[in-house]
Amino acid sequence: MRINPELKAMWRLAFPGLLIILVVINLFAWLHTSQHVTGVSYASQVVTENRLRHANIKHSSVIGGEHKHLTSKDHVKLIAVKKRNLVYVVTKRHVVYALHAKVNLKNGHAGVINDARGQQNTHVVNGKQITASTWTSFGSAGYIESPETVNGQKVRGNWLKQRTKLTNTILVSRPDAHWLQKMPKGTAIVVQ
Amino acid sequence: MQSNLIRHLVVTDVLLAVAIIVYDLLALLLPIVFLHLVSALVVVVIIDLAIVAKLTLVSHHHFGANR
Repeated sequence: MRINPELKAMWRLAFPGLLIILVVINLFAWLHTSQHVTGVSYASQVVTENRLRHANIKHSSVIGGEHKHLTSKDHVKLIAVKKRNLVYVVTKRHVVYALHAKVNLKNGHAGVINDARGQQNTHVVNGKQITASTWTSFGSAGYIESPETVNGQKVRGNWLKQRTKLTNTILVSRPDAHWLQKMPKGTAIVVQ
Repeated sequence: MQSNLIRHLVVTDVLLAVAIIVYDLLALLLPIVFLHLVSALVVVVIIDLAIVAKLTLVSHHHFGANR
C-alpha cells in the first residue's frame, strides 16, 4: 500500500505533536502536586482518579462498581478532600479507591468511624427536611450517608450540585454508602 | 485542493482519536493523566491548526486533485 506523501507529512507532524502535548500535560500535572493528597503515593492517586466515573447517586464511583472488602488489618484511612469533592480510601500509603463525596466538614477535622450504622436518618436544616439512608456514624455526631430526599423531593443524578449544606456529614452515592458501612470500627477520617 | 486537504485532515484526526483512546485505556492502569473529551478535542484542534499552518503556509504542499 502506497501512502500519499502529503498524508505522510501530516502524520510526521501529528503523532510527535500528540506525544509532546501528552508529555507536557503529564509533566504539568506532576509538578502541581499541591493539588494532591499529602502522604500517599502520587501514582496510586492518579490511577484511582482515572478510574472514577461521573457522579451519580445511583452508581458506585468506581468503574465496574466492585469494591474490595477491607478489614482492620488493612490499616484503612479515609482522606476527604473538600475542594475536590472526593474521599480517598487509603491503605498504608496507597490510594485503593477514590469516591465522589460532598464533604460538609471543616478542614483539618479528624475522627474515627464508630460502631453505629443504620438505614434511615432525618435532618432539619434551615426549615428544610432532608432524609438520608445507609448511614455510618463517625466522630461526635458525624455521618457518612447517602441523601434521599430534600423537602420531599427525591435526590437524583449528581448530588454534589445540591446547594443545601448538611453540616457534619459526608454525602456519598448509595452503593458507596453501602460499602462504607462495612468499614471497620476505628477507621480514621481526616479532612484536608 | 481544499477538499483533499480536509480529507487528509479527517483521516489524521481519526488516527489521533484512536491514539487518544488507547492512551486513555492505558491511563486506567498507569499513573498518567486521563484526557477527558473536551481536553482531547482541544488537543486535536491544536494539532490540526499546526498541520494546516505547517503544510500549507510553510512547506507549500500540494493537495491537488491528482494526489
